[in-house]
Amino acid sequence: MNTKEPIIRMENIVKVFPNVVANDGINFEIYPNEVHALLGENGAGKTTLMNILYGLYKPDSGNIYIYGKKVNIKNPLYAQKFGIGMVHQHFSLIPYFNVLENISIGLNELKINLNLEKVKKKLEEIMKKYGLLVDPEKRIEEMSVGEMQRVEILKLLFRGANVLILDEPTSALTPQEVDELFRSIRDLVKEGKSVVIITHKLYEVFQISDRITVLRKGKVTYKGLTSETTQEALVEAMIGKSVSFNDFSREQIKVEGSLRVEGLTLYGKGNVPIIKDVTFELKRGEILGIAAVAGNGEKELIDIIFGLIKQNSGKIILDGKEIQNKPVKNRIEMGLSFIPAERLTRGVAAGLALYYNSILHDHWSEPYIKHSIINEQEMRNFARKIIKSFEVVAKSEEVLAKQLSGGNLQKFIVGREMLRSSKYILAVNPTSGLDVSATQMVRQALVNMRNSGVGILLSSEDLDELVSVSDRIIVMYKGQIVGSFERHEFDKIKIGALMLGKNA
Amino acid sequence: MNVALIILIIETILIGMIPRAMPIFASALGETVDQSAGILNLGVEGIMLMGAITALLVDFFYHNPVLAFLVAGFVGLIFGAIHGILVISMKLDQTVIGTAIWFVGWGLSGVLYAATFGLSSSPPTVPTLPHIYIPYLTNIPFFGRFIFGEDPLVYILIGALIAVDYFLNHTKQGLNLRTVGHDPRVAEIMGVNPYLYRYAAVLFGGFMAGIGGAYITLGIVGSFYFDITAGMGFIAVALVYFGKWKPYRVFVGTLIFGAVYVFYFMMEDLYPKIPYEFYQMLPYIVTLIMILVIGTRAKPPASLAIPYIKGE
Amino acid sequence: MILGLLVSSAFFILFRLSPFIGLATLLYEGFGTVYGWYNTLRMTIPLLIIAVGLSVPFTAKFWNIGAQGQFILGEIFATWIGLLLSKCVPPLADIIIAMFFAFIGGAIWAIPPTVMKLYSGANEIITTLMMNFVAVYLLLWLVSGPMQGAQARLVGAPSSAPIPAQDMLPLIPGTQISTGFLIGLALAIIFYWILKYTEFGYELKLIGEGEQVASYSGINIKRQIFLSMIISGGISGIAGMVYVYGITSTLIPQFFSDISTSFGYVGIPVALMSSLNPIGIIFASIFLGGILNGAFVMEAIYSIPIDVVITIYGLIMIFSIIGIMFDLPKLIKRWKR
Repeated sequence: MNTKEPIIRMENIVKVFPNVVANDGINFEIYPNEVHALLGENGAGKTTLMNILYGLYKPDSGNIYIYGKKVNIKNPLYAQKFGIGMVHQHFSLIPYFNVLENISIGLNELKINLNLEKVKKKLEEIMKKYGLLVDPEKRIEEMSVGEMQRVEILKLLFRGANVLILDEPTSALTPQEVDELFRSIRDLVKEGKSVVIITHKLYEVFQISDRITVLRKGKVTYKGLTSETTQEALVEAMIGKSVSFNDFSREQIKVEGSLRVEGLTLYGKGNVPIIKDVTFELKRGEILGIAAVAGNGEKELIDIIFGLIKQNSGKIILDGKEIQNKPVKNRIEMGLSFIPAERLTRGVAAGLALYYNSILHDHWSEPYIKHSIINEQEMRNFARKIIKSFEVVAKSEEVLAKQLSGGNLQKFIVGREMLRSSKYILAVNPTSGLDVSATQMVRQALVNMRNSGVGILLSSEDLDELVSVSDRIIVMYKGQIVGSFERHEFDKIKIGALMLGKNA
Repeated sequence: MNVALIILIIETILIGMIPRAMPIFASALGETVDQSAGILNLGVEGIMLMGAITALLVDFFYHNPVLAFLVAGFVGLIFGAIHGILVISMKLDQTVIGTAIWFVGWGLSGVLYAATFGLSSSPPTVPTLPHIYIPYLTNIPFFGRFIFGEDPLVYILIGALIAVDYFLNHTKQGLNLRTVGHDPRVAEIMGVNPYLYRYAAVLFGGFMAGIGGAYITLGIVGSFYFDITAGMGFIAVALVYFGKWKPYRVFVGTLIFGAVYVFYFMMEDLYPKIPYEFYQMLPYIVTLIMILVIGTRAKPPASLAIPYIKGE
Repeated sequence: MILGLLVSSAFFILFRLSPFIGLATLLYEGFGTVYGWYNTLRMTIPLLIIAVGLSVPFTAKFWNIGAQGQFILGEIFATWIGLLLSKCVPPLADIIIAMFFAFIGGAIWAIPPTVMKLYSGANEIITTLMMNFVAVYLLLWLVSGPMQGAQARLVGAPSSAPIPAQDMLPLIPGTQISTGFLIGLALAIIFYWILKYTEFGYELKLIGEGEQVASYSGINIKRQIFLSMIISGGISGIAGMVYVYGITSTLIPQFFSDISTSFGYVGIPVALMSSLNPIGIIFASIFLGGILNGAFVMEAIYSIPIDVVITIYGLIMIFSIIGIMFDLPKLIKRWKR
């Protein structure tokens, strides 16, 4: 097998960003008819490497060869010409357009006239050939994540891509959708395509890949065939030292009080229910996980509880008091904290200093504000405390929030919400963008909060995370609660099926 | 009021509204393309003023209206380019820069006027554009003058309307441009250069605003005075919202404005007892009402007024 | 900013005047003589007050372009109540009441665009501007109709009756500077403090950073924006009152094309070039006031239209926002990306 010639060879790729060496002399090869897994932690440089191959970044040094010929991929258009296509983690689709329009953006085959009928005809052929089906006239904003992914892949095939790069393709999919995706990938390889999967999930590598390259801190730490490696070797290559994934120690303490949601309902456009008659109770000293495929009302549910969206009907009862009509500020005062998913637009004021950002939820209360007058020193002290206890890498509390890297910003937000005194924390994807050790730290912190009597409502795209820290999991599908599991009943397959609306 | 009078009023409005609507329409059409690519150009007012003064100067000295329009368009193009450099390449705040461009055009147009004609002399005049009268057709009662009796630029602008609408909705390049307006990152990934499209859009927007300004002096007034646009540029921007970024809707909006202008001239004659200041307020109040009516139902391109910075 | 001035000095060539002499004259007339300083401060007072008012909603990135209309409404309300009460109450009370009414007048004019923005998302730049036009014609109608003074009517001039001399704002003793300047300074200091050290200022800054983070932080965005616009409109109204009671003494029409009275527009670059810092606004308003005054003199001497000033302001705005947002190396890097 090693006698095969690679289609694409990247040689000695170096890419330096202002604060970090993202790729430090990487060699990477793509072979025909193979699934190649590019494995590594967040921030290891996987996506950067593939963005270079796709022409989005220019490497500082190093060469790319296609069929042995040196090429210069100046922009994605060149990459497409060479048969390279990439699906980014954040989809490159315009929600307002339908499938055909999305496929036609920048399409070389069309000269001037936007002939959608022609596009449709060819698309239908491709859909038939690879068994990837979508409705060509459907608008993206009406689609599920799985469908959108199919559109992305179709888009690449439409442009004649031979090598498909998929960046963390499973991150927002249910186990069932993942199976479907993997089946499609195998079909693609059978039809002569090569696929690169960027991932940090070890078990997926064994499920789907033929060949593995592991990156750590911008360097290649492992390279070889999947059939010839072991899980331990890969972990070692990914992390360097082995990190224990022990179960967290749980203690039960008795604290009175609960956050109850009764018959919560929210209607969207055209009276389509986004959330329908949701009822549950979160006790203090418990972690309640919400499992849902993105777009099933889980985001709106949390926004409603925090007061950012107004429900159409239903009650929210916090420690016996109805709060569904109270403004956000009152709810915060009554003990709510919130770790949001949108860290840069919602979690911080990007253009303000960290110490300004340290009191977003306390900016009306002592000691930071007394008689409406700001006490800057107290703000700074609190900011320093967050930076220190959550290992945020920042020069000082005067750094602007937008100058922090994604992972550090996340740590800052998580730290801020956990260090302020609260009774309940709403958390959405609290570990997204964090490396393994920081993820571990945050999960530990969540469990510690729970042990000290805080109630935590945790919504996460990562089913593993939910299973590892939650006491209970409720499953949401199309705005309704379709299942509830106690800790001893956790079963990823069953939960995944419910997330897709199937009865397990 | 009898029926004949009402018909006469309607006919007068129909005949008068087209030329009145044209300056706003030309600018609004340019702004539609601007905004479809994600650029909010609030400097239209200033660019129109520059177009108005340059068109007057050229026509006054060279007696060539075609050249005058072209030069006015070119000056608009230059202003568009400056706006583009500031907001596309330098990524500055579009609101602030738009206001600054307005100021520059506002002041500069006055300066140019005064530098040429002095402050105190009576304003220079140039002939307004001749109307095309097609024999027989123009004489059709009621609709004749309205449809077949306009000046050549009106027909050119209506041609431009059809062309722009076709471009935006039925060409690949139009789709690319709208993609840039919705999400420049996606455009780039799909091999479309967002900067290129945004520059093309601001250049077109600037050119059209220059033409719109020129039409005020050459098509309607035949002269120039300080701040001759009196807010038309901003009304044009408002109409793009009203038209929901669809050229034909924008056109209808500008016709309504043309009608408002004619209406107030007419009512001034019919009911002189109402102070004329109230008639003069009318276009602005109508704009406010229009904005109020469309409200949040208008959904702008998702990346409107947001600069594109690669890799963020 | 300096660059802006230099670029604009090139315009003097159009009037057969060397750019250097033109610029020197402009600055000399503005700042070179005691008399020039008096006139400069006369221009500065309304600019200063308006720009301080504008800095409040601007902090929340709410672009109030309607200061001109709010200024006019302040003039109207102050003059109306002043003429009504002048014989009934002592001068000091008259001034205070007039100031209060001016605040109300300006605030009223700020409300419709604000409400339209908050409840239907209408672009505030367009709506506030439309309100300016309406105000201009409203004023024109008033001074040539219901509020026209008896004497003005005889000669057919559009003007109100004058505010009695004893009711006018006094001069600072020993100078020819109106005490309106002190009002402006006081407002600047107060708002410097409010924006920097109070909860209100903190919340406005967060709103300026984005609606999402502001509502996440439990801020009542609508209330604070509304409040900031009431303050901004009201202060612009006070500027109108100070202008009538300190400088003109009568209500006269203000044409949109007349830049010499367009303080509401000139206040925008004043506020922006000082990065919305009210203390900086003091200096910026003196500077731009001086240019405005210098341009007045130049119009008289060289027939250079006052319009040259608005161009200068536009250029200063562009160059100062470039200066505020980044230093040069960073700018080049941004360009390259």
